[in-house]
Amino acid sequence: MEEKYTKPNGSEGFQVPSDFFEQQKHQLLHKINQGGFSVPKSFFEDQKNLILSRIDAPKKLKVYYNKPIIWIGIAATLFCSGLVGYYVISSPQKQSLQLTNQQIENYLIDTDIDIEIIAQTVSIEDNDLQHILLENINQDDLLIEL
Amino acid sequence: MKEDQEILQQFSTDTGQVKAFEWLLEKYQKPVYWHVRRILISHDDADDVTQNTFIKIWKSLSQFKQESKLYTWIYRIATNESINFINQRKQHQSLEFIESEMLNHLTASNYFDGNDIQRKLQEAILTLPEKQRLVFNLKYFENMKYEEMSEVLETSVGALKASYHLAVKKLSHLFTNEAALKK
Repeated sequence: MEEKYTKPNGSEGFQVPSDFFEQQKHQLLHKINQGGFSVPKSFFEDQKNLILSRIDAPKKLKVYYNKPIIWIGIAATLFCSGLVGYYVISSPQKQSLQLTNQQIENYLIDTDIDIEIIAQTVSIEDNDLQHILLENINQDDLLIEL
Repeated sequence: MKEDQEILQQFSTDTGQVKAFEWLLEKYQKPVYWHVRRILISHDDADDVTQNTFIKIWKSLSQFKQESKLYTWIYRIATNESINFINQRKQHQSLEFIESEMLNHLTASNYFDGNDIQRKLQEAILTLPEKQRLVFNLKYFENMKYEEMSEVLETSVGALKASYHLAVKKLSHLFTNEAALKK
């Protein structure tokens, strides 16, 4: 598409795209209004999807496990207590924790938070933990009741 | 972008809650994030608190009685979540440490691309007491009316005007002193 140019008053012959000043004003105002802060590319879209996935969850998942897999208990305690829970999955740099048991274990070991190990039944209301459990736990060790 | 009333009406229907929440997100996600970000400075912290804010909104929207505007109700939740976040940190860390970390985010963060003046202004705002910071940010960056701010911060209009006046005075002093030192 051919771009339209104009010669504004005082331009002394120089031309600018016809919507240049409007665009520039918009960009400057935007930047000034945010006070100089910026965000990663596509951040708002990712965040919106994350929020929607968090509200679009079954209300409760009960997990019973046969073997004392310590990290499940640790993770569940942290999630349920709200100390780490959503934080583990919501910070972009920590999302990789969802990938393997080992990574989650390493992360949990690195925290200084007092840990209570849940040995028998865990009641979980956090969709994100459900996700981690379903993705990472050996299904033979678990009886999952939705 | 939907009007607040339309969002609330949609939310009150049996099947329209998620749709209404999507509209609400579309309208308020960015303003809330920027508001929280100006309080917490760190992008990751602002991300977490913004998410929590909207989860809280989702859970309590059905109890919203429309005694205030939806806009100020949302900002009140976001503000309280941000302050609670700082208070939780204060239980484990000193205020000096938290403030120095915030300052560090302004100088070392990948997600601050303001110019020198914007950085200096943010650094100066960080020296203000918490209430004055909140008032200054809402007035200066968001151009919020005192009456609306009064609903958000649950403080009288008179007290808010005094806070803003004091904040501007302190910031002016800071910049004037800095200019004098440079001469």
